[in-house]
Amino acid sequence: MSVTDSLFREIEAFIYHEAELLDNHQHNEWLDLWDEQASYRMPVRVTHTKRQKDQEFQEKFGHFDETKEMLGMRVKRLCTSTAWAEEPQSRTRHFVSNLRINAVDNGQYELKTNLMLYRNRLDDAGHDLLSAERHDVIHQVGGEWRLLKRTIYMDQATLGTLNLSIFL
Amino acid sequence: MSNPNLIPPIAEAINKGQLPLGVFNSPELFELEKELLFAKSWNFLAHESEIPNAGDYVQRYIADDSFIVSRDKENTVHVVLNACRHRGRKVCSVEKGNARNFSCPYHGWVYDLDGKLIDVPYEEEGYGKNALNHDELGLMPAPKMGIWRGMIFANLDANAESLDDYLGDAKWYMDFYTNKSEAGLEVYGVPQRWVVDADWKLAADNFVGDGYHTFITHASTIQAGMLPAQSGDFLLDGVQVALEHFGIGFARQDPLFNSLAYPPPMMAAMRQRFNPEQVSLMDNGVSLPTHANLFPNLSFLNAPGTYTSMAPPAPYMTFRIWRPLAAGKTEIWSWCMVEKDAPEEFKQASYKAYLISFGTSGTLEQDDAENWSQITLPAKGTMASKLSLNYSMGDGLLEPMDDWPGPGNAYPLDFTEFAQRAFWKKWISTLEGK
Repeated sequence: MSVTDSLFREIEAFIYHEAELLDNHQHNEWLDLWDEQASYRMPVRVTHTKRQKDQEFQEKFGHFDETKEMLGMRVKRLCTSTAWAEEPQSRTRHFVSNLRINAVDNGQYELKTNLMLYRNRLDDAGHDLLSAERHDVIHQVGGEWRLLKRTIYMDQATLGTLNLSIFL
Repeated sequence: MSNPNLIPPIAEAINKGQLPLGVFNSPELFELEKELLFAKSWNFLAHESEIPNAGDYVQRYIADDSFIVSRDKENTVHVVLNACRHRGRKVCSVEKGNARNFSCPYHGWVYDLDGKLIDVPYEEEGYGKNALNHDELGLMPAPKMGIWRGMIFANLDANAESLDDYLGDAKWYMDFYTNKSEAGLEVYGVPQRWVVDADWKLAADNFVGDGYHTFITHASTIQAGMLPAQSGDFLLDGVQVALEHFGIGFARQDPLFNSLAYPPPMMAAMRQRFNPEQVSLMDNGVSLPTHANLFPNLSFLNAPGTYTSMAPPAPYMTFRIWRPLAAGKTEIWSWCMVEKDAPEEFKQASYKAYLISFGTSGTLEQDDAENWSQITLPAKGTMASKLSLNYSMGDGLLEPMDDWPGPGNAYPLDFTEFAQRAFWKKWISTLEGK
């Protein structure tokens, strides 16, 4: 079910705001955008033949498979002074595009976005580029938008980055 | 042939408990490692549980060589080079699947699950009747292969000793990882794969005997509560064991580490399965083993992890291969292993504990790889490559324990470097062709 133009703009602004928090390393504020029942997943992708393509994404095995509590532990770690993988912090830019919105029951909205994540570290002139499609479910709690679910479908089977000390 | 002056000074340094930093980013050494080390070692490829059914296969690597590990209709596992005998094209270009046979997309040569050549299109017109000897044109089997406890290994050296002989005394210790239950292990999911700008030897060196780094490298994970240790130096008063080709570390004193958080029924099952000497360790305040490395690049880790306040910490186990891609560049393969006959809730908990601790997003793994890349990059430097690293920890300080029931030399601290020194001795003697 499609949404009105003004609602589309509102949800788009929410998604851009979320990306901005990540790029600004405002991890606690980012965590607050998540519903208590959050599910944040990145299924591992395995290269299969076209015939067996339905097995490509591991539904039960991920790079991430997080509850809100797990996200909170990761954020807590990032807030210490000894999270070496992010000391100094990665410079990231989340380019979020191709927003598609589908209204479903219970005031929930299914979003699809394309993500191009630029990541640069230290004094290295190079960068990692991670591309993915994200499937989100959002809803409102007390008049505020909250992320309920995110599934990140990476465009890589072998990840080309040192680690996932960042969020997508 | 390589520079004859390359190896002797490194060997001399290793004999003195030193190591030149340059070994972690040397194209010359990398070429030697491929030829003399990886082509002559027992390389872990896959676990049998990854290919449970007839026709199942995975594509795996030994350095640059690609292999198909498959299960045929008679339930036999095969390891064959993934290269068509006609023009060398990969006949399998995916990571995993199920097939009746492998067909080369270039000219259509077809191979059976065991590698046997079964069809050549236009054979009679192009080659003549019965001119091609199919028996000699199958996919090349790995010169040697072996399976131990479901772990599939291959060796590119036809003259290599058997896998069983190679594992030797390491089996006494690998038992702790692989023999906890009647049904043995299975891979939970699939291996995670990612590429890091770090040398494979740094990872092996860390897993074989670096009990020392945890209190500083992993301080944030302990502080945030995912690693449920009483303090970051939980391996300090543990035990480190050095074999020629294997090193392993145990924790001590920390109550949680004694069982690694395995629930009582699983601990009881282990006591039934382990031999009396192995059980005696568990009765003497030594933990189940945590970190280990089998030369060259197969590492193990078994530890507790906390992923929720709603349940106790769960044990997780990972096998990993540090696949060398180039000097200073490694592809990490990380498997999450669980006991096949454990309850589903246990497997789920173990998976979550693994995820927050190790693998691509694991917080312990993140900080480890950061260290290794921050060693690898500077190791190229003209001055830095000659830097002599200190590998003397515990030398002259500790004597092997005389009451240790297992093979090899055991030392009453895991903040020591006996297993690392053994790794480097094995590494250099392998490159010397010994």
